[in-house]
Amino acid sequence: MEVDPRIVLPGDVIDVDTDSTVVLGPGLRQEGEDVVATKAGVLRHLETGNKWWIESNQKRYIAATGESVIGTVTAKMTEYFRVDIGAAHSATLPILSFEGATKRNRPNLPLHSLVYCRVAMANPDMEAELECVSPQTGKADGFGELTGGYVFKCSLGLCRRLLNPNTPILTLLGQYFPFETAVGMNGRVWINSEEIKNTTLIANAILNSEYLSTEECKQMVEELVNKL
Amino acid sequence: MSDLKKEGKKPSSRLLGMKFMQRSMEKEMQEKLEKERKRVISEAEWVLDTKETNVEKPKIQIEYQPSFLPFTQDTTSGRRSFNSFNKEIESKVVDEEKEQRLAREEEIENANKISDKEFGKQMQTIRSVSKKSKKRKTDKSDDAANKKPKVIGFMKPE
Repeated sequence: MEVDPRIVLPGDVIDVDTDSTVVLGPGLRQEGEDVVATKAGVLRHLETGNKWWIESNQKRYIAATGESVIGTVTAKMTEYFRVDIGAAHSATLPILSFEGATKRNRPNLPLHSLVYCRVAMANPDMEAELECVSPQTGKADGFGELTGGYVFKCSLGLCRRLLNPNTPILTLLGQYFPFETAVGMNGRVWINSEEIKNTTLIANAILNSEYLSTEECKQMVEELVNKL
Repeated sequence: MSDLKKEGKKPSSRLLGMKFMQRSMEKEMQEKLEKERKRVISEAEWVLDTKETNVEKPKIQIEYQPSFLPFTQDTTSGRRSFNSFNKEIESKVVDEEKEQRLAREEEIENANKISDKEFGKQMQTIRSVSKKSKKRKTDKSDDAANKKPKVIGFMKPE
């Protein structure tokens, strides 16, 4: 990265190399000739493709195409399910967007069940559309109903960090217990493990680890495990 | 009585009451009303005087990406399992990682590639190489004078 990462506030004008097409990520907007920040956060830049974006944190999710989210089924219509993903409007999940689903063979999702799905299409004007199959292969690939376990909410920045396999907290916890987890980019995390006390411990550890460094994470996890 | 007559030879009220007089008066009334209506409508419609201002297209080309996904530099794994809790997922995670890393490296390669034609053009003239070294010498003096002071905003205390 050529530019030092710096902290910007909304309204700051950003010097952008305008020779090639500029790709603006979340938090940046074009105003006339300038590029202006609309969110407060750390400005980041990627040379390949001239990408600029702002890393910020918030709790409210805004649907964007291609993201994997955890949703709750709120209603079952004839052609689709109505799913709540934590955005301003509920999303629709067509019945045929499951692996091996046909009109005769409908997926049987009870009300208030959890689904791990992918946002197929998101527009600021319309309700988001979800799908439970991966677009290239047409197979489930980890999407689908999540049975058992426990889901909790966290901030979007923490979810993005949890998706990165280099983040230490999940690997640290994985040394002590067997468990599985699904992270949705809409601020929801699902954990499933054999015993309830393990599940609560894992949930608390994840929530507390948001602002801790690797060393502090280690200490916290060891303390929690010793208390069990 | 003389006053009344002096006001001019106005048609008497009996004459005015007659059908043909009424008809022409009504026509005039209608015309007046039409005029009023037209005036009201034309005043309600108005056009901005923008023919002279030119709207220019902004000179930078921008593409918007609303999601954070294309900006991640490491693989993203949504579902993970530890200590062989869910074996299917553990096997899938390895494959996913490979795929994502391949895709990222391909993107980097494609961005750095120059098409064969452009490469040929660059190699055609030797002059361009010597010009570059001359440019470098003059650039240094310019740089000192014109260099923008680097804007370092608020830096995180570390």
